[in-house]
Amino acid sequence: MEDCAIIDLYWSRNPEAISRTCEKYGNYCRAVARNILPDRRDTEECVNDTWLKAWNAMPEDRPGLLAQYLGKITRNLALSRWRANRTEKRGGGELPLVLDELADCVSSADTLQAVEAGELAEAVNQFLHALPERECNLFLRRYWFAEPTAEIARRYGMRENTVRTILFRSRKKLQSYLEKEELL
Amino acid sequence: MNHQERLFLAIGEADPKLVARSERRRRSHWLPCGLAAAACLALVLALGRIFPFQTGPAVTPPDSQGPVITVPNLPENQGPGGGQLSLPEQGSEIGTLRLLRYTPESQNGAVDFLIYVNEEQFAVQESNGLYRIRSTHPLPETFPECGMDIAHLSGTSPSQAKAAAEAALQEHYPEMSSEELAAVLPGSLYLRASESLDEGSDEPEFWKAEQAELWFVDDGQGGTFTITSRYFLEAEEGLGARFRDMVSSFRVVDLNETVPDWMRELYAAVDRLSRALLCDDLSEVSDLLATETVADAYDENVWPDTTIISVDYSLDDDQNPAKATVSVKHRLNLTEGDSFSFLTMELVRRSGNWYLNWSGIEK
Repeated sequence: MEDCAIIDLYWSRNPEAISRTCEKYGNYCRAVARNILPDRRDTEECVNDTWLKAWNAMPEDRPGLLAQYLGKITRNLALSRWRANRTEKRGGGELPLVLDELADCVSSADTLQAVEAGELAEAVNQFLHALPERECNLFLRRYWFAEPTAEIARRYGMRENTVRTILFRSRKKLQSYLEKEELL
Repeated sequence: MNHQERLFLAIGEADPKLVARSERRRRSHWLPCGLAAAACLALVLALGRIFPFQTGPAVTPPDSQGPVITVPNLPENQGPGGGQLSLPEQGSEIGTLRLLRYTPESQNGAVDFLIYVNEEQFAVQESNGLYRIRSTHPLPETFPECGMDIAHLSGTSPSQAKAAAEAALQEHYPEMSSEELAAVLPGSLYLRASESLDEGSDEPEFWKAEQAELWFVDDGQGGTFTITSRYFLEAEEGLGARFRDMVSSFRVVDLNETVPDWMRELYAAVDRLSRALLCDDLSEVSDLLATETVADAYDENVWPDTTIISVDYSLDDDQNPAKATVSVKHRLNLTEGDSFSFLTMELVRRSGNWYLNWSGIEK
């Protein structure tokens, strides 16, 4: 079923919307959650919560790209669950590594706490638009999807070391960019 | 929530179009069998002499600077001494190799090769039979040296050459691999050597780990051509990719067969037209334009930034063609990753001459 038809189901409050979404994007959202949550049950619950959240959000939302819209919901839910698990000492997965890497960019940034979330997101988005396509793709696979570097290397037919090097340079660029924007 | 979690959340707000774009997987580098071999139109090297390769694989180039090889002018006739060219061995496809007209005197045991190098980006030097291809925009001295070398080993098979190279490289490059992610030069043997990376070392250093890729190509006469590209890890997607593009155009040439005049003229016409179209300057090719030519390309001079990957010729008749469709696969610049475009031309043959009917860019 086409995305617009699925969205129409949501807008008409037809419960079939959820089964159709699950059919089409279940695996996609599961993959997003799995990179962040190592526990399979957590992953499944997170994906199910995604459908509920999408149900509540549409309407008003009418996403242009349904996969990424759902993926973002899953990602945020997975992050919340991961943080809750962490307090129960049930962390793990790829996310700690991803966050460690991101710490390179912001670890000494005392000013960041005062920055509005929206302002930071806007700056990051502008930064991503300015990156060359390949670099931007790698960055998003790692820091949006929390994909392991080996998987990213397979996806793009690159060597893992090359992926790591490019990511390292991108993080440095992001740090410089945020400093230039006076967010750090 | 700590800083990095806030940043992670902010990244989650990335433009969905960018996120969607990152879903696409890489396309294969290698062309299907029926397509033409790689070619770059700027410079054709054809070497008529074999020089014994004395020092093992050309990972370390000689210090001496050889003379710069100039772009050969295309002579009117075939090479001296009745030197002739063979057609490629790819089924009924014609024109896999661009016609080679720079044909030095044949001699016993002579082996020729051709490779296409964009002289806007690279210069070629020869010294004692070692051909060195270097960027015309060298990197600062603090960067590891990058370049591509071509040498010949007579009386040595590709497997012997590879074994010797492995032994020679082992000390400096502990990481060796014979697996190629995508075959650049089918039929050749491949070796990749990487400088050891200390995972525990400071990250700022490992980007410059030296890399060497070697291809061993049978010359058909009991010897081997060794092609070595060297760069550093971070340059893999830049210079490394350009070297691989060039390597994919490498062909050993057999001068014992001939090609018909129409093919020679077609290659010459395509050579001139490609450059003129990509330069957005048709003033030098007015003799190749049909009466109502529709010549579209980029409407700007993109030639200096272009790497030609391959040229594919399709003909309506392989004996006496009246029409040829030519597709020039190229890459505009490396920041676009693997994004290729195609300059497609249709040429018609009238009274023995080829004329451009139309051209356009396809993505």
